[in-house]
Amino acid sequence: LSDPRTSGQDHVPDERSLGEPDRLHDELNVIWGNPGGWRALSIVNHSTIGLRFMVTGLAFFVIGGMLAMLIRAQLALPGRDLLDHEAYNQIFTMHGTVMMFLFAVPVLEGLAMYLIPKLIGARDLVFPRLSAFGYWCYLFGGLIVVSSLLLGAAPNSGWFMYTPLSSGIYGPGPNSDFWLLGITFVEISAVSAGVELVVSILRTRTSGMALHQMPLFAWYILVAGLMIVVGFPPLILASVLLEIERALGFPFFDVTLGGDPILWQHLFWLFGHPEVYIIFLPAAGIVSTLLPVFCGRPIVGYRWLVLSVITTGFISFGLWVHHMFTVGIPHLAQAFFSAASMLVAIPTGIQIFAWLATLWLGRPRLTLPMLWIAGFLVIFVAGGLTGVMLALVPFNWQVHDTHFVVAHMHYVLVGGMLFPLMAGLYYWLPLASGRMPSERLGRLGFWLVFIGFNATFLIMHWTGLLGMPRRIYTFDAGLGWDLPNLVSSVGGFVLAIGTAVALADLLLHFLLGRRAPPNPWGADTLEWAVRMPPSPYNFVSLPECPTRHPLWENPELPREIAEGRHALSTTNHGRRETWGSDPTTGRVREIIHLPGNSWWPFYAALALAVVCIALLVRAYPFASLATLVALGVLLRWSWENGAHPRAAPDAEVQPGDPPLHYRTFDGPGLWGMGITLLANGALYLALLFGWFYLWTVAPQWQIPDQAPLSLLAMLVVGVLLSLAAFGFQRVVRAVAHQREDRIEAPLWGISAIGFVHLGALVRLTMTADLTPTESAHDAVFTVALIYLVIHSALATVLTALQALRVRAGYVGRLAPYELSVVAQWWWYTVMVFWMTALALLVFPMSWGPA
Amino acid sequence: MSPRTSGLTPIGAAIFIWSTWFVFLYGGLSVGCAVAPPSTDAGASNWLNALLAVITVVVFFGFVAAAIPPWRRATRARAPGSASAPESDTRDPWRFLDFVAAGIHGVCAASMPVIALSVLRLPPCV
Repeated sequence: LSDPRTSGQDHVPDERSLGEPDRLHDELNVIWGNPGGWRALSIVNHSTIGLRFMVTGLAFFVIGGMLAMLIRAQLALPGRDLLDHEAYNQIFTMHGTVMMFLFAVPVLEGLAMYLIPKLIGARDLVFPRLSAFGYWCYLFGGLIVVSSLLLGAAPNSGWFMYTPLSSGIYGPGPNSDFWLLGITFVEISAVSAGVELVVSILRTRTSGMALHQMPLFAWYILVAGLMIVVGFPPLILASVLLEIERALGFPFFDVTLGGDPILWQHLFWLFGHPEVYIIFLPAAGIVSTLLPVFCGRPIVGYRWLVLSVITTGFISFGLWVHHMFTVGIPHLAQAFFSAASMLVAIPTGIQIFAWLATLWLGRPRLTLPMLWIAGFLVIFVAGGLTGVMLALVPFNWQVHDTHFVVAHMHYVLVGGMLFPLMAGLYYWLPLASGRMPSERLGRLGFWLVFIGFNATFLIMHWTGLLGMPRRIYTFDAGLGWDLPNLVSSVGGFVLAIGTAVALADLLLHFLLGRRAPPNPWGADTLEWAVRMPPSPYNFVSLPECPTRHPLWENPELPREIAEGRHALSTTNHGRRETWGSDPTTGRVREIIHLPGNSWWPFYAALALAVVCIALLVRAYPFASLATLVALGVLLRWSWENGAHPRAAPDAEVQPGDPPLHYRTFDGPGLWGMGITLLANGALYLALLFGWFYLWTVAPQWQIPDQAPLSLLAMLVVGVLLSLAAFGFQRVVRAVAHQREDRIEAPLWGISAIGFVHLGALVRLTMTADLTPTESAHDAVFTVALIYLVIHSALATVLTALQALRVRAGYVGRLAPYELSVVAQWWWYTVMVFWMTALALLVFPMSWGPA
Repeated sequence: MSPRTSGLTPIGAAIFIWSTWFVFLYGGLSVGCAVAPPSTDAGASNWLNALLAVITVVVFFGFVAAAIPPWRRATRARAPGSASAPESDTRDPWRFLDFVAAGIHGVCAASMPVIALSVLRLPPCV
């Protein structure tokens, strides 16, 4: 390896002195350039979208921080009346909500969206319009949630919205609705980003970048992305159920009608605990990326790190009940979750030892980013240790709902996320702006944050051990809590000042920072081979990358890339192109042509925002209308795909190049649909979990003596559905074997069968003997039937759309891949139909009431 | 989907099976206690704990057996005369995936007795 501290610095030429790079840049900019003015709303490029996510996330962070200051001002002294109890409830609820949902996850997703294509040698994320859609959902959802503060009707039941406090009886105002609708809207954004990142990492790495040569940050994001895909749907389901309960009176969480409030806790923490690792893993990925650069050597134990990241990812789904140790579950079950909670510390420990070994074996440079990483190591290890303490059931009981837990949570989340994030922002700032941050201001900001944070939260462990509960808006003097609270409050304000200094440094450096040299830190990964700031297309040409350290092994690579010496530098086709590669070996399989700027994501998110607001003010007819508009916009968006001239202006490729992805059976949409169905399946399984949970636990749960609908009728409806799915698969097979050119008529036929099935299913649902407002059993049953109706309707409509696209020439023997995407939807619909029939109809008939 | 993606399949399958076992452990306990709760006087010696223990042992040995082939493939490079493991690892994605697959199966197996050990000591429904 060449010396990483100097590599790249002396070798990258001033590109303005070269004619060829400028010409290529101009040609690529015609295809990839971002429009200005109001048309900037149509930008889909990952760099812009990633930056928007991060800037918006930091704005929400400032709001969340100000709310925290109000909390600390109120608790600084006993008996303070700065806030009354209602205002305090709203403020601590919104502090947690904003920090968790509107700052931590989106800002890390934004960073990943910005970096992943550059790290893996791609020109953009694989579904750019989905990125833009996700951003607008996030922005609109976040604004809806935060607007509740201005209206004095902010959520007030805690950031985890426990029922029955958040239910209609104890929370009759719109406060909980703001949370349920707004956060669900934001979660659409999170899931879409998860799908986008997973597929991009698996399918768009540059030529030769096999899985074992992927930058570690990509591994962390891959695992975190999959965790989002599986972890967020249970909360989406819970939010939908609670909103339906509040709006329509379906008693999912009402114990008197067969529901159970503890179901909410299960669904929330099924999401909530993995969420901690969804936040931590990308941040740990930053640490694993920066440490080798500043230690001047490859990371120690790459394989072990990958193994521990995957292990952390799946074990973290087996811990959720440790948030519920006091609700009264059997000791044996508590022991399972206690052991699993302690186990998860082991893979995290492996990562920490790998980092320490890298530091030990390297020659660390204490730069500004490394300062934040040092702070992370100290704080996160302390937070991890108190986490192991909390995994012990008796100790957990003692400190449950005290400030000890608040202190632990902040050590883990601020130490495990904010410190690495700041390190990452300082590290990649020169890439985004072309300028260096201020060392002096940056170091001042770090020390103020580090000292302020520990002054606030280290002593809060003590406050908790003294018995001070969480979420009380004031306290009496003489309980021993006065001094520790005062210290925490002073520390909190020092922390706020430090954060302001660091953020000011980040902002001011755009104006005052000195120009950054190329690859200023001597990094090894591909993102530093792009222009600073990056152009919208990232790379003029896409290099081979059969190594973990491309820039250390070939410092000339940025120049070669800029001069167009590598692949896909042709521009006369007018397409946005990147490689589609094998998920394991990185071998190139096809050329993925990406869509250009589009208004559809903005319009779709806007229509959904209208749906959200209409539901909030309970204007249900208007909400239904807006839902239809949103669906129409989404379908119109899907029209501009594949062989559509706006998606692929020219079908020709260079001699020797692989085909365009829409001419294959393995385009990115296939993977996108697969990962989306994984999320959908997680939501469905959460619903089934709810059904079986209520059947097992809820004291008033009643299974009716007679099934609410005819098993025979269900059988007939299911057979129709299965026939349609088999028919669709037959069309796919015929096209795959190039046996059939005339597929429009079969597709219309399948759509007709789907329509008949749908009509029968709707009729069955309407005539079922269900009173969903009077029993939790009927409420869950109704929701499951509606779920099936939605899936069947979409399968039917998508098939009709495919028939239209065949007629328009966008789908056919030469452009087959959309058919295999829709086929997945059909088979998923068939699967959930029969599973529902078994679980909700056959199972209760065979076992009877619990 | 290409058959070459099969390198990732064992990892996904292991995680799926582990998750199913975990759901069975907690869900089976809850359902067992709801349907036919064993007597508390029997302590940990009852049909429910026995069932959970047997299932755990079966799945445990399944994971151990499944971990051996990829582990052998992953460590084959260490034979005399071949390239050292780390160097060959950087050239061969399949060997890398074998290591990860063996590791995930091993982690799954190792975690099971730790999590389920309490079935030997604690009554199920108290």
